[in-house]
Amino acid sequence: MKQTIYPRLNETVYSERLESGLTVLVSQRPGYRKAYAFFAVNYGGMDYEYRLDGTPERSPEGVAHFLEHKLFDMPEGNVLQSLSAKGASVNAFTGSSMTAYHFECAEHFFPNLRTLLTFVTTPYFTQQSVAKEQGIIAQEIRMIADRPGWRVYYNLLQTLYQKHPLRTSVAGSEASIARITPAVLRQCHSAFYRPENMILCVAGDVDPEQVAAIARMVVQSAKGSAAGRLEIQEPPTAAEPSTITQSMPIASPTFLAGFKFSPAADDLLRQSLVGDLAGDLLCGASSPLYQQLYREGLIDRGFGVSFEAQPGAAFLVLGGDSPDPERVARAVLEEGERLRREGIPEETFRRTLRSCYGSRVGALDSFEHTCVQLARSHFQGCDYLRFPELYDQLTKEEVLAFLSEAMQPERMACSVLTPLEQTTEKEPQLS
Amino acid sequence: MEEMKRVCLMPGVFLTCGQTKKFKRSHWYLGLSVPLTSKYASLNALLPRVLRQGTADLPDSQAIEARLEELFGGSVEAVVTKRGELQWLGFRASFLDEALVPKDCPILDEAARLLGDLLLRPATRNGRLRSDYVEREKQHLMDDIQRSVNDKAYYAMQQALERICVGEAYRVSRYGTLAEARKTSVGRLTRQYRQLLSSAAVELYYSGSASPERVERAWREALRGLPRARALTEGHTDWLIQPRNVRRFSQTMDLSQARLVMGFRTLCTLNSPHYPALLAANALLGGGAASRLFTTVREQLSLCYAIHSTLDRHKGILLIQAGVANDKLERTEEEILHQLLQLQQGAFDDAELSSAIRSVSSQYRRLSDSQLLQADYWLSQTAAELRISPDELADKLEAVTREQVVQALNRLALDSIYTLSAPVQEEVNQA
Repeated sequence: MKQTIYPRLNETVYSERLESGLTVLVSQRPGYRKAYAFFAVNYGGMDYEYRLDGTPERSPEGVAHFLEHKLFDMPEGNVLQSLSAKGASVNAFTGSSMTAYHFECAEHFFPNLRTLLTFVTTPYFTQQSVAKEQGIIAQEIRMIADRPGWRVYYNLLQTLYQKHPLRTSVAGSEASIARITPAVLRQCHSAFYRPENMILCVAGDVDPEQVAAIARMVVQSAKGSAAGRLEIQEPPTAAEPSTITQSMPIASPTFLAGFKFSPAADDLLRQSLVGDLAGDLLCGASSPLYQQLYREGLIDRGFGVSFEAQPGAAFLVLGGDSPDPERVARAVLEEGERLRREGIPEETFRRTLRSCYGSRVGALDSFEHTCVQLARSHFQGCDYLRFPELYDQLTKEEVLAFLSEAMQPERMACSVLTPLEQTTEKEPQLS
Repeated sequence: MEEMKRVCLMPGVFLTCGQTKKFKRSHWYLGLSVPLTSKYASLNALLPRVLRQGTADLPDSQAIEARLEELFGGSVEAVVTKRGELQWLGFRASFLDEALVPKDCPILDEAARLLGDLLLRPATRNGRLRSDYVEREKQHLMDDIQRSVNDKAYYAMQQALERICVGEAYRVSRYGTLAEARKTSVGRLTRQYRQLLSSAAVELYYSGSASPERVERAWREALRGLPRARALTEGHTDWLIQPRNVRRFSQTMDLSQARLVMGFRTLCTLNSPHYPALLAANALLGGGAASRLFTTVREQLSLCYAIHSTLDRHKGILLIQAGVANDKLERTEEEILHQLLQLQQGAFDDAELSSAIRSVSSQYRRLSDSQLLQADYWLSQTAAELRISPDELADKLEAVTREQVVQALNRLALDSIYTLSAPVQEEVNQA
């Protein structure tokens, strides 16, 4: 395997692209008892429409997430139980453009790794188990529908984007998942779960060669045709109306505002570093705007800002609880204008850059965070751990040019949740 | 595993310290421990929020945030936790480790100094805490108390505990009540601050690459001038409570999914010799993906997406919580009780038990790989006046027998059943 040392991060990564097309990355972490494996596919909730053999295909919304649930089933039973029996904490998630299966454990790492690679690459779906899962996922859909954080974010995407499939919930709806059959699952598995469209990331004090050897043994080259992502023709502006408001049983109004960018043509990692830095300079905790809004009681410490990028989409998202979301959103837009006009003081830029850099280095303590970033960057064609060198190159001018692109009223959308009537209580009963 | 050292710095001030070079960040905690009471919980919860707003040298939060940015994106959060019937209030912090910052940045001493200043040298006016900070943070505290309704699972659990523990200190939430929060004032808070400073037990924690001697020196310097009274306030948790009747409580709210909480008294805390058996019993019943409730109520019967049991190790309460469809509440409750009865009668195989035990013991063996979990573990040990290492606890767990687990399960006494559900829609025939 190829060894790459990142001296500024005190990190060493081993990598290899196997004959099957699967990329294996191992971040070696001496001194840790746990080892962590993360097996991801470049396929998520936004990919319900795709291209296969040159023809557009459409699957029910929520199929990527449904697959994530069902892959744990094997002819001999559910692997959740067998992995738990070997001391592994196992889980999986489906994002907009990535689905990942992961576990961590302190012992039996290699047998557990073999199980992980086997079940994810073994499609086994029966009519009965699909019907059962429809009941479980329907409950999951209802559970997330009661979550204000999910609701406000999902509504934002609905109004920030006009055509992009990010507008569709990753879990789909109760109606769409009712259309999922074993044949649908098999087709999507065969089209997307292909070694060349996947990555295995491992973090821990493990032998990288042994990781690669197991992957070589278990993961075979794919047969049949590979799916391709559709080109998305998304207008640069937000949908109309650009504000969406909904009521829920919550205590106080909460909101998210989004600013829409054009995704970088080449260096997506660089764009995300610039995006985070710009967000902090605009309304991070030490910024004049944050402090003013906090003093006026318009935001609290839950207020936050981040930059997000998905295939064909990039946006700055900010928000939290506020008694007057509209005023906060307007103030952010005005602050963007002020920064463009007045520039950024050198000292502020240097300090914020130092903070962003330190936060990214510190975040590598999380194996999950490390592997998610390595996988995402790999799918984008970047090497995540070269971020220290990229930070060295960033300038105020680049950040200002970034803000200038999207800090425009027509590129902004807002999602607001307002409180609905609260609870009523019945008399307690004894039984 | 790294050795954890515990030293007494001055009367009632203890430092728990672990030296490790594997993390990129150092983890810090400074907390005061006081008995949990309905009268003072809100006042105590307000204190760290106000102190976090400014020190004598860094008089407002903008100055503090700028300082944290200079220290490579360090973070300091005001935190309030409930450990049994003790309330802990203070600060949790993390900073980039010394090994990863330039030699001219004395980050260890600066971090200790900042935490010490937040506690001992707050921004004041006319000898009192600043009234503008107190008023603003009081509003934020009240907002947070009201906001507990936003997370339905957390809200249902809180509501259930308030009802289960009526008449016990444990019913009080970590932030107290809205009514008590409203009564706080700058005068009362300043008096409480002085009182706590001299009389509360102080717990300090550090995990990072610095030697215990250097850490001790840095803390001693930072806390110079901490007044210490002769008699320190002590608290304890009342846990030996046997329910007489099963009580039922229900609330309604406009929700997509109902929540069911069943509260049991275990007559056992982490101080008890039966504690490892109770941990195993909880894991077997509802502790994870291999547990009985997950595999039957969710996987076999499709009644819910989320179902689990959790244990309060200080108070000895076990809660089973599930998110289910409104019309499946009764069925789910019946099935939970049926499964519990089965386990109480010993109807589980050895593989099921060993898998449950392995899933928990493995978590304890991996604990030293997470600074946050490790800190929480040792601070909990402190609250219970214990010094059992995670490895020792894992050893005890692995030695638990089937008979001990059956006994622990049979000691579970159902106290209350709480439901949070959507109001029943009455059908109206319009002829």
